[in-house]
Amino acid sequence: MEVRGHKTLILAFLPWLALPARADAPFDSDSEVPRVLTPARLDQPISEVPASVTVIDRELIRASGARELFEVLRLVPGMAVAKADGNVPTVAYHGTQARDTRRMLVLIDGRSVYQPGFARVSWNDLAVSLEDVERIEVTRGPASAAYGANAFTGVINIITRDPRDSVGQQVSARAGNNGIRDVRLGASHQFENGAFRVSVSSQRDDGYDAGLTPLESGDAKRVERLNSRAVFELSPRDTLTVHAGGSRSRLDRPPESGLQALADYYDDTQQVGERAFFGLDWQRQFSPRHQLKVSAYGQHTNEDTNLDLCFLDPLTGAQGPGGGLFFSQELRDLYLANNSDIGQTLAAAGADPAIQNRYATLQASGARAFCGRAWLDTQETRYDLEIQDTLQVTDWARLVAGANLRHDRAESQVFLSGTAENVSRRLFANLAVKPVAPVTISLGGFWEYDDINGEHFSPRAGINWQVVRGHTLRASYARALRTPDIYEDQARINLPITDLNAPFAGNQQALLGWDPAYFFVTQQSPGMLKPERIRSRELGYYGRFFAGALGGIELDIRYFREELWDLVSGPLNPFEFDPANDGEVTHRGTEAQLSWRPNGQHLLRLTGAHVHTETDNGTEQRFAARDSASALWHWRLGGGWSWSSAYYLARDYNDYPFERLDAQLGFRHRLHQTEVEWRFVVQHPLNKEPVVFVENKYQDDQRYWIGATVTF
Amino acid sequence: MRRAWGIGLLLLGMVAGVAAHGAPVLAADPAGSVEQGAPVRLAVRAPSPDAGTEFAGVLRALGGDTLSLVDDDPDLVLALGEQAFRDALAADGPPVLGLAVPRRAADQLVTDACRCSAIWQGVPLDTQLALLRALLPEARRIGILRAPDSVWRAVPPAPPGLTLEAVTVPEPGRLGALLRRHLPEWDALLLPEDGALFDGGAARLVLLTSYRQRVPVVGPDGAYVRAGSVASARVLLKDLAAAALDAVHAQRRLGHWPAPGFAGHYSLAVNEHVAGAYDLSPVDRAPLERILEATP
Repeated sequence: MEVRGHKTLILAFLPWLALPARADAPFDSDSEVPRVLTPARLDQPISEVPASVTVIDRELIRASGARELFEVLRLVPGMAVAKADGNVPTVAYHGTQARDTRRMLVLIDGRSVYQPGFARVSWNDLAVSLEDVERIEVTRGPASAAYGANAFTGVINIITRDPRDSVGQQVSARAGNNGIRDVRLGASHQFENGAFRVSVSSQRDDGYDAGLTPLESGDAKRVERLNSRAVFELSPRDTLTVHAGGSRSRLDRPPESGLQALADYYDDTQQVGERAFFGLDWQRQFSPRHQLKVSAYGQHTNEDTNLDLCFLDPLTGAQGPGGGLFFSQELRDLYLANNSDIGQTLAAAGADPAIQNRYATLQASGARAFCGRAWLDTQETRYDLEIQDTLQVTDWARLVAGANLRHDRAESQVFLSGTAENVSRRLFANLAVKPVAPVTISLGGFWEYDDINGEHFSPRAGINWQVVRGHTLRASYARALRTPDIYEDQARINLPITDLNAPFAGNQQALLGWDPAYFFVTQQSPGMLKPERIRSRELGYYGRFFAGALGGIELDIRYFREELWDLVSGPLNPFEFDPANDGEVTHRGTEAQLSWRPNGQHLLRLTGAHVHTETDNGTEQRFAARDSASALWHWRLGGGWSWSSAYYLARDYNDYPFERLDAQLGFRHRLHQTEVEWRFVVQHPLNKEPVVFVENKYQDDQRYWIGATVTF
Repeated sequence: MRRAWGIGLLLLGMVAGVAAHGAPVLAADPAGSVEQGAPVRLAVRAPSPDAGTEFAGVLRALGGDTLSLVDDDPDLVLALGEQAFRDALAADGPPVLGLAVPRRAADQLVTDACRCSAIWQGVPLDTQLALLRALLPEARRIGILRAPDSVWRAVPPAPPGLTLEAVTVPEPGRLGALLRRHLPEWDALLLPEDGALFDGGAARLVLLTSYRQRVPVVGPDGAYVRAGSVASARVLLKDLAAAALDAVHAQRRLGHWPAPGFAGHYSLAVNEHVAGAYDLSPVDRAPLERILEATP
């Protein structure tokens, strides 16, 4: 009887079964189009990623009116962004220390610009201008399982414009108050099997308020950048990408407070930086399900900061030959004998016979002062080779796995007294499986071994459940680490002095007791630091849906708890050097980001974060704003006109609230074969408070500039 | 009792199946000559014997015994493709229906003097737009690329809240430059059927450029979907056969062919891999197919 029933069912569908198989064949030009191996087939949508992700695309970048790359990161919920140290920006996700640029990884086209020698990201010197950027993807939360050590609180991945998508040649200029003078030239060319683009830019401004004694200017900056990228489509399956570029920066630096008590500056201090990089990516698409990528790059950084000083006589407090005591062999010996305590050393110096003799020698030298130049020098070089394989194992399983070999080298006479190296070997794998259609389970891990820190493993696990179409719940757990940098592990601080005035030049042995002569303060790392650790738990929601008359909405909400321990919280400068894993921080809170596009003319984007920070070390919460928010509205008025306005809030950075309103008016029009775009931008601080530190005061209440871009 | 249920289901299934495929237009026609039981004699002219055989097989499956496929002395001729249509018209025989004929050619060939008509090649832009809106409802700025002499000169009016921007590509060589310039302004790209502009050679350029800029592409046909477009409405042989049977029915009933137009029967093509990359997978096909059924 069962059999009969089945037969009946089959007969009932006979009309369909009677159709020949070719009935589903197309009759048009279908069969003539070759299959394009788009990377789309192996990409992972945001709703399936086991982390909160913020994407800032070109439209948002343009709408923000930002001049500098780091500024657009204010659109990321929970991101602390400020020029915390004069003209040196600090960008930190769930910020801790005010000058903290070492707990987040930053990549440009997959190349790490996190500098391992001195653990930092130098935002001023990134060899890419904002106009070169296609989009910025920010992973909010630890991501060492995918990127390795130092993807600690998050990862910023800056993706530059593909030359195949670049439009013609561009000339742009910008001028405004506060010394803003920017110029950029860009060129691109598409050829049969590829394309290239190159841009050269110069950016300068006068920074924060003047008036820092004894010098008038302390934070002006000028940066020149070169960025280029070429793509060669070697075959329908093989693509070779070449990246090359560099930057040169000159930053006016304010006086070092530690030195100001001992010396007078006789000339401005400038930090001069030079950077260069070269990289190759080869990508082979074996099939729509299988892709291999091999990347190699090298990069070099060179930074020098001059300190032009006349040292004060410790007895008179005025410039005099007695200032040479600070570079004498005897004071160094006394400093070491006093367990590297500067205060105790200076207090005991007057009664020390050897110091008294040296002082008498200096006074007898006939010099009117002891002046010279010290250089804070750093050089860092990295070579990196990585192979990554992406495989859609089945329709429900996707695996990314690979290996990486990296060589880092740092050199500094001042900070390392020579050269130090570190080699790391890494293996990684991330698996995403969909056991049932609406559920994605992600498991990943990153194993690494390096010469300084030994062996480590960073895991991550997450589950994403699409409750209904367009609405996904997410839970994830991750651990990550920040490995001590070469400086933290192998610091050996010795500050030499050059260009001494007569009679000290050439007579250091006789007048100072040693040659070369060093500043009496020295520091040495015990080399016992452990990696900093973070553990993160997250519950999140991601929605992308159409709300009828309201239009399209994208919403991400995240509740998190992050525990950081073994933090190197103490200062590590020549005057204060406290290398210890004694810091602990706990962040917990909620973040949200909303993009609302009611129609084709308007875009509204809101972000907000409320973070509770608990720590046993006050410096670890200077950059931790309890409440932060941004609101951006972009309106395409038509006829080439556009308007955007933005509001940014961070309450507080080091007890000072940051609140600013930006507005931008744009007009784009065609002039014969060229396109001209005008933009007028105003940034208006909503309070008179300094930014992070009291010396960071604006010279003007408002900043404004006008810019023009000609594309032809 | 069970047997009676089985027979009932069988009949119900046959009726439903026949109705679903449009073939019964001949059998169910209240006024046409087919009701007298004489099958209409159809000849199929195709660009190749294989294509003709395949199409005849589909026609036969859909039309059943209401039609008779013959080589000689047909009542009506169905010509598959532009060249077969031209050849059939040149033969000056019985009334001819061109199938999947490019619209521009059909405008030229279908005259008052000829006893002919045509089913245009491709899918109406309205249909593709409706599909795009259902698939990507949050896309507010939709771009359309077309050739200067495109049959899609008249872009459908933009529904409330949507911006439709049609950009004319003066020559295929300018396609890349215009894509680079306009894609950043769009949330989605709609490609109309245009053999000259969107041939196989352009697919790589269009699809890779749009993907790199995260702009999903809808249309213009099934081949583009297989290549990397997210989705498209398309005309399969069965759709063309159903459209042909509709026209044959109308011709028998009215005594002349209906005016040239689109097939009115469309199928859905979706690239789940690409849809997945845009966070659209798995695509719920049912509402999309209902849209295709509802469009003329």
